[in-house]
Amino acid sequence: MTKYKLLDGKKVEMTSTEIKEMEDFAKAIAAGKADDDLQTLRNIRNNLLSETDYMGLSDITMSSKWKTYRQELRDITKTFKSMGDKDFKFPTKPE
Amino acid sequence: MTSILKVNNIQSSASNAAVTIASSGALTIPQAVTFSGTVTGDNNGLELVSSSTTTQTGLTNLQITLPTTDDFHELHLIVRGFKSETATNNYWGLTLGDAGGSAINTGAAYKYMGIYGYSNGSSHGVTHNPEVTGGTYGRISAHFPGDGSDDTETVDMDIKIKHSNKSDRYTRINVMTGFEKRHTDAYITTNFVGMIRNAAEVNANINLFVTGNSAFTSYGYGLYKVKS
Repeated sequence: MTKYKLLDGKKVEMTSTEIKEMEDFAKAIAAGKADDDLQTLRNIRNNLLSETDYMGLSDITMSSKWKTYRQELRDITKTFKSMGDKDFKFPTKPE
Repeated sequence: MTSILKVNNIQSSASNAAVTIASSGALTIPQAVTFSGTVTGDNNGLELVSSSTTTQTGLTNLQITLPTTDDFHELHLIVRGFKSETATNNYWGLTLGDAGGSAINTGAAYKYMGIYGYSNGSSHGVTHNPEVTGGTYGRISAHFPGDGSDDTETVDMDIKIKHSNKSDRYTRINVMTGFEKRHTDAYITTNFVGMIRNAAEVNANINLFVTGNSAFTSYGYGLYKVKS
């Protein structure tokens, strides 16, 4: 399959050597991609959890809806490994 | 014999606005200046290395030759816009290439620390995207790209490169990406990434791409030397 690169502003056809180099490179990246995807998911999940950490303070009573929400956040990596997974979405915050 | 024309003003016959010449030799030019050629010499600030102002589709790689001379403080690469042409769960990335070597120099050479802001309209945050032990490429974005289905799903970049021309220093790159909606959902992101290629080598080119070799569109770029 023909592939192109923009070389110093000019669109040129890539050589078979360049295409193979890019394909091998893509495979090398793909090998670590699952870790990247999972870390990104965890980063945002952790932020969402931290937004409601104050509910765990001793002078606040956490409702069951918030407890469920926080547990679903903790458990989300059991079901999903990437935010690109089919049907992925974070649990909905209670009203 | 050298002739010298001594005047205090140079004025258009159709105007009263004049270029004035002080006794010190200082020029005062009252209107915008249009240059038709390349500006050279010291103190010209920016020097264009290469650019493209046209939209190019179906690209796998955007490769730009980097100058290897030692007459600039840093390189400034302005990416006017990129658009992934498909909905791909990959990332924007970059590599550097050695003179006479591979165009995409990989190996565990790229260390970076990225911070990114995100919002889906109701939840917002700032988080991180580090690779501090060394990865095969420099990851520019923490999230999947948009697919260009509307203009929010495109991205612009501002890239500053230092020491790419030094054989005794690691190349340092700072990347800022603008507002980009990813294709999977409502999340909007923006990134700042500080990066090094920890190899003390002169770099001949920079390559920008979508990991996974997804085709993308370039809306043009400009590479400048930032000089004294």
